[in-house]
Amino acid sequence: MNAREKILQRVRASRRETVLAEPWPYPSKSGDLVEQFSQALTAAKGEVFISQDLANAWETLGTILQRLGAKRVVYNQEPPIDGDHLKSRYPQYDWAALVGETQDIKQVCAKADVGITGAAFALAETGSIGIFSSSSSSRFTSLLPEVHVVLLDRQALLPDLISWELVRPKKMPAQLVFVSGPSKTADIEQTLVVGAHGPKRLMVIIYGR
Amino acid sequence: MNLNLRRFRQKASAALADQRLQAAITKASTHFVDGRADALSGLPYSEEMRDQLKAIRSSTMAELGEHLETFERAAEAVGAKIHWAETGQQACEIVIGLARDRGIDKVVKSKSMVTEEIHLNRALEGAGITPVETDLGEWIIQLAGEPPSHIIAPAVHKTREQVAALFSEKLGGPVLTDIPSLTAQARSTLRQEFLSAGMGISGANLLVAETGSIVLVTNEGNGRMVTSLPPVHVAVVGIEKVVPTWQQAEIWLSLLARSATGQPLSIYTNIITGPARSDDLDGPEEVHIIMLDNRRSQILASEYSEMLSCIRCGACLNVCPVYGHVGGHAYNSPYSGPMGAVLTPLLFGLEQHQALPQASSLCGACLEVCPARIDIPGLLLKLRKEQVARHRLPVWDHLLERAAGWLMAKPRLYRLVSSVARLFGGTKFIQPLFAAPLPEMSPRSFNQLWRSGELDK
Repeated sequence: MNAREKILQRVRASRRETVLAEPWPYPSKSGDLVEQFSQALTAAKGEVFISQDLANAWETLGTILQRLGAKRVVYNQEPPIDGDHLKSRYPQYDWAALVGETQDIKQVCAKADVGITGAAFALAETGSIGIFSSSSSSRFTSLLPEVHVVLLDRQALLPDLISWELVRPKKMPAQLVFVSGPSKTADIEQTLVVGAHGPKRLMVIIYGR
Repeated sequence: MNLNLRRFRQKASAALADQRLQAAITKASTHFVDGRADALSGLPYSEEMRDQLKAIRSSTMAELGEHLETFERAAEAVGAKIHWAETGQQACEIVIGLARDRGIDKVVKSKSMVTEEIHLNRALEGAGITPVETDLGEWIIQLAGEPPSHIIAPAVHKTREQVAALFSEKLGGPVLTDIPSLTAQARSTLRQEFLSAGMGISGANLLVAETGSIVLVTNEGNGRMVTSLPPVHVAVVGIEKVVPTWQQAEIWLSLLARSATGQPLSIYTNIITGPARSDDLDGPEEVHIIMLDNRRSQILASEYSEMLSCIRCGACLNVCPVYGHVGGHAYNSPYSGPMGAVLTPLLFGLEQHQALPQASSLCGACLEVCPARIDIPGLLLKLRKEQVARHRLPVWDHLLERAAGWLMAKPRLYRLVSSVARLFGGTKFIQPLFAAPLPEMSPRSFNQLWRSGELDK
């Protein structure tokens, strides 16, 4: 018998009958989802911008990039982001796309000042945005640059983690991350420092009605 | 007095005398306790969720075999490779084998108590493979050559001056004076390690059987780095960490960070389901999950099986008066505080850790805060009962307790002995047999006060 068999045999020997009660349908908090999301993310040192529509969101993005003094910007080619549109609208920045070019994605993201992504969904109660890995999204766009900017469609907001179950993909991606703020640590003398290994700033532009 | 009781007392005494350590633990504990209270008060139905989590953990353990097999099938279906290790040593050998077969000589690690449990770093170093811790607290203690002193805040015992001196000595450069600079130095140094390592090693906060997923939570981002940058990801996970469905995992996750640090969710809740898909832009080419037993199946079969429900949040450490004063190192184990006082003897042997079940006032604060409502005081009492049954306490303790038990069962004789003792100075006689100061006897017994009617006034 190999290790697997021995372990499972021992575990099965302790088997007993059990009944798990039906999961309780936890009701979500009431209130405006955008407001809840903003409060929760701001409390975690994230930054929230509200735009009435996508056109306005691009304006906001332009202002953010200017204020940051950004030079190199990397983005995931995923809705609502359109690389060609960004490049033509803001030619002053060095835009690096991740798809269709033979280059080391890790190095490109590591050298970028800002990483721009969309969000598959967001959770209002915890101030979290959900990001998937895919054929057009790099894991590193939202991880390596010092600033991570998210374009979040208001329609993608959900109340909380419990309600996320309704939209959870049946086929899970290789990586799904809930990001709930800029990276941080308090490992030295319990003193909070924002900006550990991941981005130092997380900015979410919420657009739409 | 036997060796490990003496060792515990020595470490505890040293910790009690260390004013700075006392202040550091108090600061951390207060911060976590306040955070937890705020976070749970903001969660509607948190008490019901805790009841549910207790039920989920218990019913999962009841059918653990089935859930482990479900997890294995689902994980393999998405391309992960499952390994099984009966012991810590086997697990280390698997990791070393994976590294050697791929010519990997450096690995980056995110914080994982289970890898401390099996002494993985020592095994890797012995095999010529360099492990680099990446959680700031874990990296600090790795550089210092020390074990962690808290499961959530491993370097809680270190001052900024100590860290600054350590960085200057080990990394070169001037002694930095402030915490942001120290953190920035860690960020830039470790960034290079992340980008160049051949393998990332992590633990897992939980495993979801439904989809074969690993869930790993961090605040620093090192968990994402370790599991995405290197081409190979290896996760070492105790078999008790499995949860059958996402619906149940969501309850677990709703309570985990709130109980640990007071956050609604950790900054990064990373859900890993197999290696990169064939058309993914990036991600590891290989994901290996090592299912570790290391006595968990024996604990499952014992009267202590409830302890397997622990989700490693650390809430019990933060409220424990014993941990709060003696700190984590006195426990001689990566698992300290109330959960460690139960788990350490179960994993490593009651013989080697006799002080731990005794190191409790049974105040019950741990039970009050445990998100899975584990009856830690009850488990400690069971361990003590086992110690007595196995004659594993010092002979004097054993004889005294037997004598006291015999005497207390005879009320009139007990009263007579107490009156005589009062005439001759009370507890002074037996004080030499006890390490802790005994309380003085009151001039009159409760019974005397009661009968005289004095207490009615």
